[in-house]
Amino acid sequence: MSDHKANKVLLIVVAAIAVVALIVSVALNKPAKQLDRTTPEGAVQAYLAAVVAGDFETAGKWLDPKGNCRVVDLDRAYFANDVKISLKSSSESSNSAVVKIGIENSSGDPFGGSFTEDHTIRLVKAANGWLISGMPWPMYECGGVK
Amino acid sequence: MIIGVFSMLIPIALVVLVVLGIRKISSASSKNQGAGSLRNFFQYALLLALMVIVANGLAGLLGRLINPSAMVLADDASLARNLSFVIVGLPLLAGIGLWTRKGFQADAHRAKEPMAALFVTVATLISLIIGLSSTIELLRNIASANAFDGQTFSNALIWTGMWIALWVIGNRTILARNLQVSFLLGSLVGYIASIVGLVGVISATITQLTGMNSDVLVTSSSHDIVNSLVVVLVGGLVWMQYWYRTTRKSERNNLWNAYVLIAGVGGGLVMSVVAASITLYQTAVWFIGEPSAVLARDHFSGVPSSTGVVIVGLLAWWYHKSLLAGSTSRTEVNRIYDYIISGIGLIASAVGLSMILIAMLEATIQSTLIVGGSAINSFLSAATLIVVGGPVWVIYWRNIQSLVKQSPEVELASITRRIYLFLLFGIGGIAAIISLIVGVYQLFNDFLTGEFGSSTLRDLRYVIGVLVSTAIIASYHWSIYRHERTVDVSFGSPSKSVVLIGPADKQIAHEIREATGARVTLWTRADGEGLSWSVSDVVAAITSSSDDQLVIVLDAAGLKVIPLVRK
Repeated sequence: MSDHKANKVLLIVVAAIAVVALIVSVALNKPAKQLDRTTPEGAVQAYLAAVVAGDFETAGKWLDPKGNCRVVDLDRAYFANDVKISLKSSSESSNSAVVKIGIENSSGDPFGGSFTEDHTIRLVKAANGWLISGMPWPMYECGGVK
Repeated sequence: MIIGVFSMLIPIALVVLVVLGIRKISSASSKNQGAGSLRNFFQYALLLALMVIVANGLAGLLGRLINPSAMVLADDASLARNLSFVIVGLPLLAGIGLWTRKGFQADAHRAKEPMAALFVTVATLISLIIGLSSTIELLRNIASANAFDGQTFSNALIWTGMWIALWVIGNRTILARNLQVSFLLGSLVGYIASIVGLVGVISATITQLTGMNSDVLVTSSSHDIVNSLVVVLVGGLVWMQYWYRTTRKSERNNLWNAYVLIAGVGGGLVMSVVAASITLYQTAVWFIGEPSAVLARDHFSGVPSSTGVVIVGLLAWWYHKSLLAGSTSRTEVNRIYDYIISGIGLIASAVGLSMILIAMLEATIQSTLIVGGSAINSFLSAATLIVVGGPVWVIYWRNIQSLVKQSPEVELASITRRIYLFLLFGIGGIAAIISLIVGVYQLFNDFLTGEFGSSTLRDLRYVIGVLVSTAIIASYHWSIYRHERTVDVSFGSPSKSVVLIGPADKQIAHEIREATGARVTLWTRADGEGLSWSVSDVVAAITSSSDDQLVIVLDAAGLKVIPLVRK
């Protein structure tokens, strides 16, 4: 195959990949599915969505009042702006539940690299749904401010 | 702050003084080449340092000017630093730049100096990499409708502007042949960025199409496909400028061939083979082995990326291979490529063989492991290495051996072949001897301390695995080397040097070089109108001459061959 032909084929293949990717991007790009807020997964999703949006007051309402963590602890927590959080697994018993999540952070390189860290969120059953106990992401210290 | 500025100015002033001092010394003795080179080194080093300082200062000031409202607390120290960078650096950069330009105008030889080409190469590469990453970040911000970041915008603008200026100045002043390294490095930057972007596009598209991202609870990041398309766009533009418009059409010498063969053909092939192996291994573990993930979606989460790597690797391999389709001559670079790929295939297979032996020994001995260390997974990874590495080695080694049969006098005398054989039977032999010593030591140790038993065999499993595979490799390559050791190895064939004097012809030097392997230089006659070169006549004149250095003059009467004496 000549140089000229090879360049032409390369251009066509790359353009085809780009066009297909754009069509898929436009046609199938949907926001994350909203889960039922009365389930442990739904409670975790509501909490995380509020945290990522910076609405700590709303996020704080999903924290167990008997636990150590308060909204002021969320104010002091640090997390990257560019995150994607996936549900890994969940298990439930009569009064408690465990939801495992994967948090994909941008590594900051120009090529869009990322790294994923796994976290476990524990929940307790309350009168009107599930509340998050323990020290959920992005908090690594609770009760420091009185 | 004043002390800080002064402390920064002192080294700059010292370098200026050194440059001026050396300039004075070298002008006093214009024939002093060593001092001239040293002066040039300092001059270009200073120019490079000033370029980086001024670009940083300008980008910092412009970024601050564009969106001052984004700053909660005024950073006076950075403002002072950027101001001093620009106020001190810019006049110095202009002054030394003009001085350099004057030097180029006064002495045409300076355009041919490697030091000038080195400066342009380093400066262009720095500005290209910073400009490329800043532009990608800027376009991503725009595509995801994030807040406009003035600093990213100014970085992209200043460094891309710097790159354009260096490109134009470099191409106007420096001899094109000396800029080949710069062009190849730029091509490599564009090539890597395009490949990474394209892999990201394919991976994100497959993820979206297969619904593998349906487990996403929350996302604040911009769209993966668009992000990767931005990398393809910017990387592709760099590649187009450096490779498609420039390097592709340049002289196809050893450096050019090395880039195409090693980065293009070899890089593409290795990428595809490694990614395909990982996918094969993951699939085998899921169906036959012991996967650690419960859900198929988690276990195969890396498959979209590896599929992208396989597709893009094969595309890169095919494209670069097709560039070599017209080339008939086999150079040392081709041999290096063949032996590297063959060696990778062989080492992968040898590691696989060792792992299978180790896994077999582990399976026969009662294990004391409580958690982890799945023998079936070890066996599958070993099988994958053999299944993938084995065919690669067989294909490339058979091709090498068939070329040896076709032209044994050239292939057997190749230094690359000799190094390959030495490395494999040498390193393989050393590894086998070390394994043997360690094994015998363990045997004696257990025997003398009264601990000889099934645990001894278990301790020896690695030693046996390594010993068997390296012994096979070493003995095979020794048997080949044994028949070839009488052949004299050539450390690069002593090619002829030919100066052609005649009419201008862009292709003649390249064609003669391709046909004869000689180093060819064309000097154009001022009175060469009406004359034209005949490639076959020139090739015949070179091959029929027994002399190494020739001058071939073309005039109205025909070719005149003048042999020269090598001193």
